Amino acid sequence: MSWGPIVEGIGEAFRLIVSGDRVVLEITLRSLQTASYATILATAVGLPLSVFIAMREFPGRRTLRFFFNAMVGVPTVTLGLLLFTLFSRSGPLGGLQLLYTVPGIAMGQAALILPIMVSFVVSAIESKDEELRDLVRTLGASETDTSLAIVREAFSGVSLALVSSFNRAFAELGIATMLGANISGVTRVLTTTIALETSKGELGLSFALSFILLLVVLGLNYVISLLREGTT
Amino acid sequence: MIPIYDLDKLSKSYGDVKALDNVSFVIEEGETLGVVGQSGAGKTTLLRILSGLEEPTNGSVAFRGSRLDDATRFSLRRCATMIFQTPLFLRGDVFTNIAYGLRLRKTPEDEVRELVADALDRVRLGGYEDRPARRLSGGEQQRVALARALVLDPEVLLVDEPTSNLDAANTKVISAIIEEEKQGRTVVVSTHDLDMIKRLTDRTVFIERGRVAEEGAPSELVSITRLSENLFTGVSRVVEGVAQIDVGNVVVRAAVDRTGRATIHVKPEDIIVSLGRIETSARNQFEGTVVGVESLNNLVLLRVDVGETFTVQVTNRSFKEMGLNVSRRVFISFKASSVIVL
Repeated sequence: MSWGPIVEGIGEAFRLIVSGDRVVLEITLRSLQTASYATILATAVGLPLSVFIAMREFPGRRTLRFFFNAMVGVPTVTLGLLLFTLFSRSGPLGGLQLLYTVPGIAMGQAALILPIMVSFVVSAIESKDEELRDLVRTLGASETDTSLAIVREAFSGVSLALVSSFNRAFAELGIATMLGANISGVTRVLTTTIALETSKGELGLSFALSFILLLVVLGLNYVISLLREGTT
Repeated sequence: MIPIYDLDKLSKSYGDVKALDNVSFVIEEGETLGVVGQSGAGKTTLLRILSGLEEPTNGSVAFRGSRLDDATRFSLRRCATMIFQTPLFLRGDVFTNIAYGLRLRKTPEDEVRELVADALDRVRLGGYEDRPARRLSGGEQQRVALARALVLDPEVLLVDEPTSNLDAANTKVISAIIEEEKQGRTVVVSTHDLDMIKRLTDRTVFIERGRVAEEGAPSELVSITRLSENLFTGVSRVVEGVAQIDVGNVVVRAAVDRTGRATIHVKPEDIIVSLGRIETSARNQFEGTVVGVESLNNLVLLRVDVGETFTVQVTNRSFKEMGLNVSRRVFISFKASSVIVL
């Protein structure tokens, strides 16, 4: 084992970025696209759900919390396999024709990151004391106003949940492979390309793409950390 | 006239703990009601129910003649505002905090700015809009909390121990503000500051273990008059499970788990006088001089200066047999569990 491929990969990554390689740009954008759709979808479902779980008492609340906490660690291939079965032509959701499409991958990733979102947001909201709720309520907040205020107060935790969810969707391989099948120009994303190039022995290109993936993740986290600092 | 609040056989339990037990009384429109009692007696729970934050377990509360339910509790919260013992703030500056309630009520922004500035002036913090709320001093925080409630011009102001964490100077300011602002509204203030009670309130309820033990004008309440004896305020720190409260010239030990500022009371009849140091399980024993003697039927009240002056109740017989009198050196002892933290 030599360090060659890594060194070569750094150089290659640099070259690909500077030259603005069309294929690399396309798959990077597609990765961003699927992860963004997934995050939006998961947020649309997860945020209200989290507020509900964190702020209401109902039977089965603990079980639901436990379920989402446990599902944080679900293997991507297992979830991918399950969704593949659901989405496949003869499957129960086959009619939606989601298999091998970007929306299909995004939905799969949304299912993957929903538990992360819910677990993080529920903890963030619960860490805001009961007293804060009483404060906004005595100042005249309705139930909806109260939920909004608490989510805003829990901003730091909520933004962490969003970033972690996006990162997970952006960097996962199992679902993109199972639901996307790495079709060039259609469903090919960064992670599936890395897997493919590695299997072809193209370690340099794999490393190059890995570095781009890392750069995006680091850049995004940096921006979010700046935002969080600015608001506390 | 219909009273603003009518409490009927009100009880509130948290699990097995009964915070309020069969409480009934009325609050008249425009009056200032004091709520006094030991810490944990149920004062905060009472205010929370009056503010519509909590619903009673049993019994009922009527606000202006109509019984409160889930829907009317929200309307109640729009006209009754509670100020908590420990001020709490939303993220952001003082302005954001004070403007919050107005914005919920869809007040136009230019009006919000005027009202916030005016509310800050009323709590003597004019120009504080841009300060980060959470970084203010304790006294300033409590005043911003007051401004945040006052800006809404609530019909009912519920103030829960506003000065329990404050020094004398800040206490004075807060109580002056409340005195000004009580005009034209109904105010319920829970406090262990008896000066504040006497100056501000028309009527006071004394709560003991969740029940109303006494009710009336503050000057008439036996519990308040009695409570005025042996009342000390100091800073408490817990050492090996026992609170040591430094009240100035003596350190009093109390069987409570309390740190920070604390106001304590020892009943005159719970204090033992002896001529010499005695071996006792009582955790508090101080040496001092009798500085005053007051006869009360067959009882005698002694004032004993041990650094702080304690009032001690002894029987006439003990007083004679022990040959007690002014300038006599004595020891006083009382148990840590006899120290009541208010």
